[in-house]
Amino acid sequence: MSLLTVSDVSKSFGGLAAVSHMSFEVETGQIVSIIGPNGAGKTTVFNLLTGFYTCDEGSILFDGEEISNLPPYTYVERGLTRTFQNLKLFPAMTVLENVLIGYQSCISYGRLDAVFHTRKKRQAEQKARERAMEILRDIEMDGYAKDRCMNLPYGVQKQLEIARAMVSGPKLLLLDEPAAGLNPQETDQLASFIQRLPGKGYSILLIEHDMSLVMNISDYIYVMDYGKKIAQGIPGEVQKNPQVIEAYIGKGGKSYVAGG
Amino acid sequence: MKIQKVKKGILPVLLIAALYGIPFCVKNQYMLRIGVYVCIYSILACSLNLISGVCGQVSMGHAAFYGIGAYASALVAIHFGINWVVCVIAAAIAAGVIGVLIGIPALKLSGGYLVICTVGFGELVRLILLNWVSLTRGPMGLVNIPRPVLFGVTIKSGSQYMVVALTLFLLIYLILHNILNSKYGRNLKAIREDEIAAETMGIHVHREKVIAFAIAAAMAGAAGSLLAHYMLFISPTIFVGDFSTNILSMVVLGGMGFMPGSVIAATLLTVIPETLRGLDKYRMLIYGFLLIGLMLGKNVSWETTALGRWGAGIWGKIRQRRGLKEGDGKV
Repeated sequence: MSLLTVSDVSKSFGGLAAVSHMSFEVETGQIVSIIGPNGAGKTTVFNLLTGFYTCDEGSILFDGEEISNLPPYTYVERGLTRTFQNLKLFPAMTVLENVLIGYQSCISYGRLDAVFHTRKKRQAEQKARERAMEILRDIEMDGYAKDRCMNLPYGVQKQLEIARAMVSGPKLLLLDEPAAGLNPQETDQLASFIQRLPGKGYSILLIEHDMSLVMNISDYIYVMDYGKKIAQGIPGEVQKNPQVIEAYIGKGGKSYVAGG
Repeated sequence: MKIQKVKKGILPVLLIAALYGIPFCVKNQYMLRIGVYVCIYSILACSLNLISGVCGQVSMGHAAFYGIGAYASALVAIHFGINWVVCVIAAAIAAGVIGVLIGIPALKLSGGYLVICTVGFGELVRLILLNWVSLTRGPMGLVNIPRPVLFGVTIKSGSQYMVVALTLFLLIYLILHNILNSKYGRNLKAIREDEIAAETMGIHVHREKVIAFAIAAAMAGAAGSLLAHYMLFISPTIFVGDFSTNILSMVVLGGMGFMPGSVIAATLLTVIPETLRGLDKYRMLIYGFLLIGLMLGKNVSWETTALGRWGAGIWGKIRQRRGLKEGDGKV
């Protein structure tokens, strides 16, 4: 059985069908990408998957359980986290604090433990800090731990957002345009970083505009346009699909989607 | 490591000892009175800081919870004649419960909408206190509120009351300090920074806000109890919207989210109007100008001014000396 099964999901805003009858699957250990022109409905799919929008119809099965239309804060505990297209960090907080917030659902002590500063709380906090530093060392950001994240360069902030989503050890990680705004070198680093994730037990669902990145690292690709799925397949197939080429550059164009 | 830990712990202990020294050294009743007010206002400012500074939900109705606490405590003491400790707890529970009831709908709003909503709530509470004459005696206020009795001692003198007020303040400050240094405090900060991201990280944003609001309300209620049994008389005119604004200006002046700042600002904004009493009718005028000046001065980056450079220079030298000394110790 697949880790994530989206079947026949639709969402419209007024008369506009942002997503219509979208179906796709993510298998455990896969990197699956959703691509499509601007406004195709990709981010709407992410918002449906994380409870920020409610589905008009269809079902979303994650790990065998129906997860559509739950409150957004319940998804972390089920093992599903995300990043955002435009950074959504906690700017005035330190890098370490940001990661600790990502880990907060795994830090278990009660409010009374907090008020009385009990041993249980101190131990849990200590453990959480160690885990957060471990993740930061993993992405070579431990040097930044005490910096406020609004003072960091954009590329580093992007990385931090992924770290924050990873720290709780989710089964599925939703990445919304992780390469947007990065230079080619940073994009290459990001690609090799994402490629290593399935080996560590994370499965990835990716939205991305950088075609070379998508074609290089994806196991499977879904293409959307005007809220509908217009193609799917392994990178080689999608590149040659005439409908995809049409969606991107119009009729009669040559393969632009062919990436390195 | 251990020596450093002890060193770190020494400063708060000295500070607390010095604070407890005040009621024993100062014999001037007027000064002690100001001391008690500083304690009460510090509780109000710190508790408002939790919800408005740390969590970013600006409330202009904090005086209402202060009033609810004061009336609840006074009424319980007058009608049932039970121990003051129970009265404080009753005051905190009454204010906290109403905080939950108001918080659930109000905290769905944010920013300016929340501000206006809390202003409305403050006015509502004031009008109820004023018009529910059978319970609150309306504009005549509640009189003959019994003095607190602790361990068989009736708290009568100014210095005795200052010890009580200081203890309650320190207790509340400690609770707030512990909350802020826990995952719950961190979550509140995250809510202030970005609600959507906080929600994605698994924080039940609305619930956390309501709980923080209720905690702040309960603490304000306890402060109200402190006031009622000190003044021995309370009336609705104390708990007006103006006073909510006052508490909020303490929080803003001290720094949103910074607890020691709230205490310092509460002290300043209590002491300054008192020292200006000699100015008679110009008092509030001068106070207004001073408030504007303080707010402007707070936002100056002091390192860039002559005074700031001079101060930074001296501080640097002190640190240098300390560093040398510590180095010597290690060798």
